[in-house]
Amino acid sequence: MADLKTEEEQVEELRKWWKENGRSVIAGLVIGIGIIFAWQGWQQYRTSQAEQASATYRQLRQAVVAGHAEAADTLYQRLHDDFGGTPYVSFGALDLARMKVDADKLGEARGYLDWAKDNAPDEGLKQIARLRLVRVLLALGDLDVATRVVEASGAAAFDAEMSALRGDLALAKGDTAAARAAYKKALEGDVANPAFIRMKLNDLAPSS
Amino acid sequence: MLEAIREKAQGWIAWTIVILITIPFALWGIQQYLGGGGEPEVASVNGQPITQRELEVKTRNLRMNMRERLGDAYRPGMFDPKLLRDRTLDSMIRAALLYQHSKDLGLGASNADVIATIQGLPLFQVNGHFDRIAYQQGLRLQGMTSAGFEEQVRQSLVSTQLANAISGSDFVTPALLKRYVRLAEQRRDFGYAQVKAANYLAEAKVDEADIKAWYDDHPRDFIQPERVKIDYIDFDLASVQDRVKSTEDELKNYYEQNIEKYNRPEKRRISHILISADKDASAEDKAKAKQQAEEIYKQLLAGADFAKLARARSQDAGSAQAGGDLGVLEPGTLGNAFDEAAFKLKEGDYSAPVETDFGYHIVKVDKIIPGGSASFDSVKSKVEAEYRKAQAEKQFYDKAEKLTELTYQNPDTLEPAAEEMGLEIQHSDWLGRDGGKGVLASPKVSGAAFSEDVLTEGNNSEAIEIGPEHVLVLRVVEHEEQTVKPLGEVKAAIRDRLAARQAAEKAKQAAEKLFREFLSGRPLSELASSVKAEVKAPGALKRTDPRVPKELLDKVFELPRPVAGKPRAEVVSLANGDAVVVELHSVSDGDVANLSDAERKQLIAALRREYGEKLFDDYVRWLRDTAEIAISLPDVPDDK
Repeated sequence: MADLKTEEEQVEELRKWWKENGRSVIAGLVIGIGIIFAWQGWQQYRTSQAEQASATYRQLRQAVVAGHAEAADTLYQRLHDDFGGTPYVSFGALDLARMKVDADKLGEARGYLDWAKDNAPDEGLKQIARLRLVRVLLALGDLDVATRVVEASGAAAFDAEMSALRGDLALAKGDTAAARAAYKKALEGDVANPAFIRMKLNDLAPSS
Repeated sequence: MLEAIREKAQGWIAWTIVILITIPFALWGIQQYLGGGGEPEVASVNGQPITQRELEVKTRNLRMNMRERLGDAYRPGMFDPKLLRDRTLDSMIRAALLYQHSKDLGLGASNADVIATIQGLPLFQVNGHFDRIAYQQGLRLQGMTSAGFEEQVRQSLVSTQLANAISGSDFVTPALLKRYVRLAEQRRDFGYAQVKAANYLAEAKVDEADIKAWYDDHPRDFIQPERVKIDYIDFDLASVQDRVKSTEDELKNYYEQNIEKYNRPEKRRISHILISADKDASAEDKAKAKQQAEEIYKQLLAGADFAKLARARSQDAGSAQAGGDLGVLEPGTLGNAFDEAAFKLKEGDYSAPVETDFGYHIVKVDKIIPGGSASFDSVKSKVEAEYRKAQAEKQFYDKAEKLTELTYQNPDTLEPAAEEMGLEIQHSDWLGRDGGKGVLASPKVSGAAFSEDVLTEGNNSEAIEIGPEHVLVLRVVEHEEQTVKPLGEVKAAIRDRLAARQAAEKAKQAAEKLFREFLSGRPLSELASSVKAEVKAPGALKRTDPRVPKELLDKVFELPRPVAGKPRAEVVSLANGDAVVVELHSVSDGDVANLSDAERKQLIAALRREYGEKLFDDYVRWLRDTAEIAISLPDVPDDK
């Protein structure tokens, strides 16, 4: 075997190799370990953020249900400032919208829902914010904006609910034929309070 | 040779071998991480498996839960096992989706929340407080570690956050509420003429061919479900009691052993004067009351008349007028302190003030009625009844055991058991899976009668526990599969049905004629008498008024609003066969302002909940639409 070398030659070769590559090996190890620690740290940070935000959000909910408007406003601000990266801000916005509607402050409710429809962490929540925004806009009488929001909506799972709102919108604009069609479409799907939709539909009975 | 290997062992061949050997070691067991341990899967949700075992456990829990909740109404086979399993799988997929998505969103629950939730679970509480030992015991029973359980609680907290955030934040705008009330609380004023189908029944002609045709076309209507006739031995305490024999000596013996039961206690006729002081009264009030009582007591000592004082001063309204008389009392009626005073005194004496929960009493004994033992002869019939009952209770379980044994040893007949135990075999009428009458109404009876062992194998049933100290053993003597009832048996019913249909059709024609005449301008009230129709004016009603048939009311609320000069009318067939011409007079919309504050709040809460829960359902549907879900259920459900 021609490639057999003496022990000394092998040690010498190793040394040479280390001299050439030693730095990159150490750098690689440091970077690798660094990444592992950083990842773990980031995970821990995220978990602790989520836990704190969740606790704050729980207080916010309690304040909303109990009707403590000022406390709710403060807690929402804290969520917004300290935990902006968590989905709890969007939850909080939905809750504050509810509180504002209950207090008959539709304009403010509109603001929260408008924010949530653009900033919620997933398409489902965005769509929920849109549906509720349309309800508020209908109550405010801002039909043009409501139409735009309805047209921007996606996610087929919410179609029945959206159809019901299209019906309300068409009716508000005075288009009873379109309203009837939309209500009928809503009833074909799985819509909330179908009895109410049927009442609306009967109320639009053509007066032949 | 060895030399050569050793030399080469330092070279590249050795390294190749080492590496080749290392690979299997490194990868050993990796499939456990990749595959879920090789258990059969029934579904996978975004790659997360749901195993068959998990599904079976959950399905079983659900069934047990239902059984517990339904209690005696539960019947085996009540729920289609496939349906139950599909429902369970559906909810598991839903839970998995929600949990995964909560994780993706980065939702969390703090340790404090987890701890608070666990401490709030009634399962781990003793006397309303969290108990560490109960917690650890509970976990051990479930075969869980505390870390595992805490993680489960955390998961459920996280998963419900999303649901609460969506369904709890819904609202009802004033505009929506107004519109809802306008329609839901709307009233409509209408009148109608009802043409009775019964008036046309006599004219109906049904011939044999029609009956036969109907019978042939509707076999499902005439199904006689599977049924059995059973023989059974009904064994309860009374059947033992009747058989207990008793000698004079035994009865005397029993009487002496239970002499206390037959003793009459001493009774006393008692009067009292009460100065009331509630047990929660302040110390000051109590002291005042006590002082008053003392004062009365002094007057008595000075020779005042008890009855007169009671009438004047006692604060016990019930007895004061009767001079404080409480009637004849046995010990133990009025509480310790009072009793002690009342039964220590001699006849005619009265006590110093005694404190009870009601206040301060001065107790007087008007008369002592001595107690004593009742003689055996005077209570003999009572002793006999009680002796029999006690003996029957003692013997019941032995005899029930014997009944079980005899019916088990002779699985194809009840006779030896009946004969040896002197019991009667009873015969039932036809009995379906939905049970019979009396003792046979128990679901356990039909359950046993239609069990494989009894129905197919022809064995006696086990001793079925119908109630406390009440068992029943049965066997099936006749079995009939589900059949279609023969024409002869159902002919009359079909004839009636067809006649009713004809009558309803005639009534409808009459109503339609009425309707045309009405449209030509004649009022309903005038027309109605020609067809002996009843004219009714129920007034302005809401949608859900129970006084008018629902199908009529539904039609009334579908009619367009009346316009001047345009009558709104319609013909409606009612479920009972009658036909109606209805005329809508006017519509008055509901108004939010007419709701009370409480009604308004209640309505808002109900609507809010409905919309919120619906949106959350839609949200889960959206999650489903965006997820990768694969279901591979085995065809035959293997749960029984």
